[in-house]
Amino acid sequence: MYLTEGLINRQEQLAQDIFLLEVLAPQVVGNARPGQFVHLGLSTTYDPLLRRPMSIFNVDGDVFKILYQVVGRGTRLMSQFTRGDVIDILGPLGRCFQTHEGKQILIGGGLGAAPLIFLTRKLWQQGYHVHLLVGMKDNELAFLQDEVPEGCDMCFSRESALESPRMVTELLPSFLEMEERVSIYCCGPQAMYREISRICEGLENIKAQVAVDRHMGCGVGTCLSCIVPVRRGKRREQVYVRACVEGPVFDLEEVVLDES
Amino acid sequence: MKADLTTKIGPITLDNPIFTASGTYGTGKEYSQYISLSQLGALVTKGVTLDYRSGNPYPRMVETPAGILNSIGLQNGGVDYFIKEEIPHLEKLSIPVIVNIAGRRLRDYEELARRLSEQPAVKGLEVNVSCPNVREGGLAFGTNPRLVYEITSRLRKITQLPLIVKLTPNVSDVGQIALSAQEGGADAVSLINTLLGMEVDIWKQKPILGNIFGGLSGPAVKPVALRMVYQVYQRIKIPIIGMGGITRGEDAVAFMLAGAKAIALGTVNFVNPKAPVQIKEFLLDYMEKQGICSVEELVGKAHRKG
Repeated sequence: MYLTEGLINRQEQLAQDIFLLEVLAPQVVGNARPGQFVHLGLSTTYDPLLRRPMSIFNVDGDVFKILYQVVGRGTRLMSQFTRGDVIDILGPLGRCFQTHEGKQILIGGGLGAAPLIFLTRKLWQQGYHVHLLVGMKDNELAFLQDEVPEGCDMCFSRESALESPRMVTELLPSFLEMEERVSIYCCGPQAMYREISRICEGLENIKAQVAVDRHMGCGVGTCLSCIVPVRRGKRREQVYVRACVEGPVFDLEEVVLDES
Repeated sequence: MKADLTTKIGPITLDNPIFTASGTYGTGKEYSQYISLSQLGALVTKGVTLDYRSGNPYPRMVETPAGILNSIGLQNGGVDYFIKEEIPHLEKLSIPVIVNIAGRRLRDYEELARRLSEQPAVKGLEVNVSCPNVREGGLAFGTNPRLVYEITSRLRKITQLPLIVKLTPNVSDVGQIALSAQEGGADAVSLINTLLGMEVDIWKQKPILGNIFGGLSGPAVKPVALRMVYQVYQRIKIPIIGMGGITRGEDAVAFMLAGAKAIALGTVNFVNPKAPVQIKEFLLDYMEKQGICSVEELVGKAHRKG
């Protein structure tokens, strides 16, 4: 991981409040793995104070891409960067998705699906056949289709649809034929993870991983603010681990999911 | 001639007056990838307690204007874990290591001091009597001058290690607390710990932090911290390690002029891991421009009349 500067290559508004940022940073790109994040310094005046952790949406040559929605001060500042600006980067950081053999199923909910595009590309390069399932509200993420290599299966669900599939998790059961091994990679809200956990319960040969979204301080493991409760060890006692170092990717079966 | 940054806190000689603030640097491992730890004057570890502590529930941190509120709750593996897992790394460092200790009861502090005094890698203890984020101990000690005296004098009898008492700003007369630490036999005081605060999520209509209250740090608190260092300097003779919102060289100089013999960097490390090196460079440059040979000449200069 590096503390370095990146050059903004492109900033594009894709939809209402949704932006794509491309940053030229060869060292970062060269070491980035799907599921990892970059910790971006947005202000030289320490206001807003903290860096912003952004998952890597995709890479292309020496460029990494961030897909994000403007939701607050940090992302608003990010949206104001233009080509030629320099941005402060710490990264790539965190634990990436681990590839497991078997049928490759990637499930994303909303914009949270972003890192799965990078993962799709990596798995495809390794010769896997990828099934990418993405849930969206209406049609706002349809453009993701252009980022996915040919030969990958991509399905969408729409919450606004009048009939099934409205939720992306409704697409999952048909992929789970128990004769073969299945590796599931998930990025989205915790409610989606709870539903996937329910669907997979009792089924063998499934390895499911989830990327957990957390507010972060340092991003390197010292501040202990981005904690995730997990059950580990023989006694499966609950402990807090750091999303920035032990995560953000965890095995679904070990994460203690939020109640709400 | 190059300006001289060396200074002393009690019996500890430091290559420069830049410390890390407890709880913002772990034991230095994470940041050693980004800067050489030998650039620091001293490393102050995250708070160590007698037993394992899981810490407070999420969310533990929220950003505020030019600052952050945190309520980590002293998450750590306990002193046994610390000695087994962290000391081997700390032993290899060329800079003095100061361990921050926190307890629920007086005898927790005594036991911690005893255990850590046996470790040659430990060059000093910072006594945390000011953590705002745990129910027992911590702040309850640090707001009471009599208890600060009691705890310092008891530890003084147990250990030869230099004692630095870390003070809370959440009191009406910080000078009085500092005086109690001095009378109890402290080698130095460090201040400020975080300011107690909170933030509310107006859409969920409830407090944001899992622990409801948290400690405020970052640039927002700097003027408060500076004022307290200035006040404490007028009351005590032992050295002050000043901290609270220092982000750049100018801040470090201001704290020294107000009376700090050394300064500590906390929140800024989260944002800019290179801050210690940049601040050190600024100090050298500032001293050269001002024609100052030794950094110790800066200490308390803002108190001079006329």
